[in-house]
Amino acid sequence: MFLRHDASDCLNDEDLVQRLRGGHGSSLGVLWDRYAQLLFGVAMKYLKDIEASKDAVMELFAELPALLMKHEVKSFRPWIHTVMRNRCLMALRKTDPRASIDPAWLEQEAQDDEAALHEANLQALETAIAKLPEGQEVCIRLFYLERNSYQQVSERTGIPVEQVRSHLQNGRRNLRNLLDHHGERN
Amino acid sequence: MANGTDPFTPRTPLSREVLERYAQGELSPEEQHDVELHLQSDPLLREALEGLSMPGAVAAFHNMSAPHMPGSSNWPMRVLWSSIAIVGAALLVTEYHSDKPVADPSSVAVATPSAQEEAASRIAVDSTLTVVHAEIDARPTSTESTSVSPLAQERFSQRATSSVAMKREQIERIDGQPMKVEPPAEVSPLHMKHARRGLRQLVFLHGLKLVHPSELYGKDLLLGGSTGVPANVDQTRTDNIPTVVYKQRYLDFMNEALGDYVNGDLRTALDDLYFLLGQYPDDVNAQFYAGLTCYHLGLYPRAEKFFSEAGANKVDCFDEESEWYHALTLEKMDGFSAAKPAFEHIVNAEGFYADQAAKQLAR
Repeated sequence: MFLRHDASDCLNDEDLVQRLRGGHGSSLGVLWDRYAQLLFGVAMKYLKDIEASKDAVMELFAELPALLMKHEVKSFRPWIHTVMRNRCLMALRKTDPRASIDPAWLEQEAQDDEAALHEANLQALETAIAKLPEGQEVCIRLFYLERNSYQQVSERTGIPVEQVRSHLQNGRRNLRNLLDHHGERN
Repeated sequence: MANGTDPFTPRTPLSREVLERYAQGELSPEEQHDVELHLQSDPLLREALEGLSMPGAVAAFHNMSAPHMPGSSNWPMRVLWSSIAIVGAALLVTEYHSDKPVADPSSVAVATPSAQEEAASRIAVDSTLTVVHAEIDARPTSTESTSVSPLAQERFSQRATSSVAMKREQIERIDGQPMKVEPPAEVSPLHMKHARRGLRQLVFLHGLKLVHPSELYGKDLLLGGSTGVPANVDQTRTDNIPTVVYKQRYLDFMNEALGDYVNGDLRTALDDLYFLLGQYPDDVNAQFYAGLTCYHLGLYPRAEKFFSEAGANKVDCFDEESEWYHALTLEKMDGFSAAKPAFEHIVNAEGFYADQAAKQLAR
């Protein structure tokens, strides 16, 4: 049995991007392996059409080397996510000018801004959590601090799992904002 | 915070084995929690799971021919992501699952009213939405919670243990197997007061009350709309590009709109509700939730209009809710003195919101 081994497999995304810029075509294949299906999923979410989603992924990867030559990409994962989402939005707007993606999503999903969460001390975290709306507070406590699963949080609070997830996402965003604010004051 | 105590960081990397066991429910709650931490912190993964959990998506990707590119080795990731998609399907627990039609080029829009009328209403809706979007962009940042207030939850949302709600209304819950609840044997005075209202067939989507479309239209309505251009169309030919039209069940449509509302995507929810109102301007469900969405967006004049319409609608299932939120909207727009008569009316009517209105008056 032959096991495929390529040094590219061990590189992080940003290194692969650098190699791709330098003309190492094999990096594109590794990025395909890592991201094609994820991006197909994203396209499906927005376009809700299998063929259109396939086309979107193919087109994006076909253009990826050229795009990477034009753009300075610090963090590939959120960048490629945003590119795919924007392309989906453009496709939707061709036939429906009302199509929009809420800017709040982008703000919510900016991973670079998550540092406040990871760097907060426990006391600051407790203080910030106490300021959250009730549903978010209880879900955040049970999920993050007491390490319950979605299902356990749902069972303990009576809140449907879907809403638990929503509370967690909104609570996480609010928490980050509170901690950012706290950090600015200190 | 040191890594060891950071509650936001997953303790272990995701592996195929872990995901498969998660999908099969074999993980301990602690292990489940760690997988869910990954989902919480990875927007790309979350969105991808949502798309991949759509019917046929995973199989379609497997059938997708990867472009020839050196370095690609698809099979391990495909196996991995198959399991992720299963996880996604398990995670995306919704109250209402249905056979949502994926855009089908061969389908024909079932447009009621006629396609011409629908096209005309779309133009009107688009025009309105342009104004609404401008208003949203121009408004000061709203401090309103986007979640349903506890009070509203009690009234028009379904609580986790909904025995009280079930006694008040005849409810059809759609969660795979529709469940009908027999009308109560003993009818409360309040129920008598709203006898017609109590006999309406209701459904709950995302925990929010809706009048069943069969009550409004005599059937589960089909909404018509366009969803795009077929992928195989030659885009260089701008003449006569066929538009893919779709038909969507009313409840599917409202499920998406209310899902956006519950998840805080108010703008998209409002877009959808305007779309529905463009075709069915007297739809009480859309009127009320458009009002509520506008209220949370801080578009108070629009909210006031919608609550007035919902309150005056011949289908009276949202009368009390509309009157209450109308009063709150008046207070937001013009202050307490403007809203005072509305609060007094609610108190005098001795309905569900009487106590809350009395508290407003006593402030």
